[in-house]
Amino acid sequence: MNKRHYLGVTLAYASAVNPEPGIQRAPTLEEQTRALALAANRQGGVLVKPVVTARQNEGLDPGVLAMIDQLGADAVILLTIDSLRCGDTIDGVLLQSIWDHTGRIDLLIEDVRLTDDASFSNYLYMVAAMNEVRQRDSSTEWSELIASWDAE
Amino acid sequence: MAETSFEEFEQRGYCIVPASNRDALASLRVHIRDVAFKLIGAPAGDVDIDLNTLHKHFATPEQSTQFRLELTKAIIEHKDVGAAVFEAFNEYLPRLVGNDVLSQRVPNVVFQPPGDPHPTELHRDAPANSPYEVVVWLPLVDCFGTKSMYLLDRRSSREALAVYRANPEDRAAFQSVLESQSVQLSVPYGSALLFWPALFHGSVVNAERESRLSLNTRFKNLFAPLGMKDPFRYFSILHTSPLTRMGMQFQREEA
Repeated sequence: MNKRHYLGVTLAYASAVNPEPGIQRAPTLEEQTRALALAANRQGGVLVKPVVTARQNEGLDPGVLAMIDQLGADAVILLTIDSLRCGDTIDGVLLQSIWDHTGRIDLLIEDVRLTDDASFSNYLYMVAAMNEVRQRDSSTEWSELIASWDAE
Repeated sequence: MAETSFEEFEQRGYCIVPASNRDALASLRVHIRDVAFKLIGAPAGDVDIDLNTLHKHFATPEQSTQFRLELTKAIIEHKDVGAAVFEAFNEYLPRLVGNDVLSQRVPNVVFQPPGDPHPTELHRDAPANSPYEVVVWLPLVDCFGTKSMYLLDRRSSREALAVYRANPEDRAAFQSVLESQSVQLSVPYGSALLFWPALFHGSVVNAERESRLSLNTRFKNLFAPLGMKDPFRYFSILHTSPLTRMGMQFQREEA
């Protein structure tokens, strides 16, 4: 049986220090690449080289689609869905395009594997909803509504 | 949910409700017992006795903790535990969180053998959790006395927080509020405690002669405000309404 060929997507964190509570430092790109390769192997696949790197809070360059084609990848493994995030928004359009190119997306940190149309569609609803929710939560209008709310 | 329970929930921040689907709950409990006994390597018998005497399989608190961690991973391998909990209490939960539901991906398992020196410290979930979540605390055995948990209702939690904020160093004042106003809850198997994550809660050393095994898991509306926890790691979609799916597809195609 042919092995699945994963294109890896690492994330260049904006700060090397403490990307989130409980984590002492951000993983280096080399560490991420090793982790992605291991995860690809565990799924019966292999990580193709080179990996693509997204910059934190800037999103992923759509050139990743050409890389998928050039390298003959039939799956993508991202360190995290945050690789596709710019501000409050995850790039659902690019996520959809990656899906259309490969039909298989794995997310290492989130421990998610999207393997069929139903699981992808469900995940895309989550992405769309969280985009809406995050934008609303951080809006001035929402803060003003909460401040003026008097339920009791 | 009986209107009384709703009123209680809003007034006190918690209520205890019986399962609306007992079969779903029983099936979940048997699943967890089966997985637990497979991990232990012991033959299963009566489910109630098996779970109440679970502590007899472990010699040290460290072994119990290791077992709990393994059980947490193993119970979700072949069953959507969040979906099973939601189904068991489907008369109540949709009325609190609606029809577009996020479910905690990995429910927490709590195992407290008699005398276990690691009860749950006093804390509240929100923040960092969203105050728009509901916590389902689900005992898999009858929980009473020190085998159960305690909490402070909305008013007392607010008062405790005010005391703490006024003088964070004055542990005695905070302890006084806690001791005078906390409620030790009795929750029999077959029921669940639904509570608001902004309530202070915790447990004490289990001084009963039986084990406590319980789950706690959280649900929120898909469109409710987020807390500080990353929703993509913490939650997954359990349900969406047909109308929501149609609206989102429309936005994707035409926006």
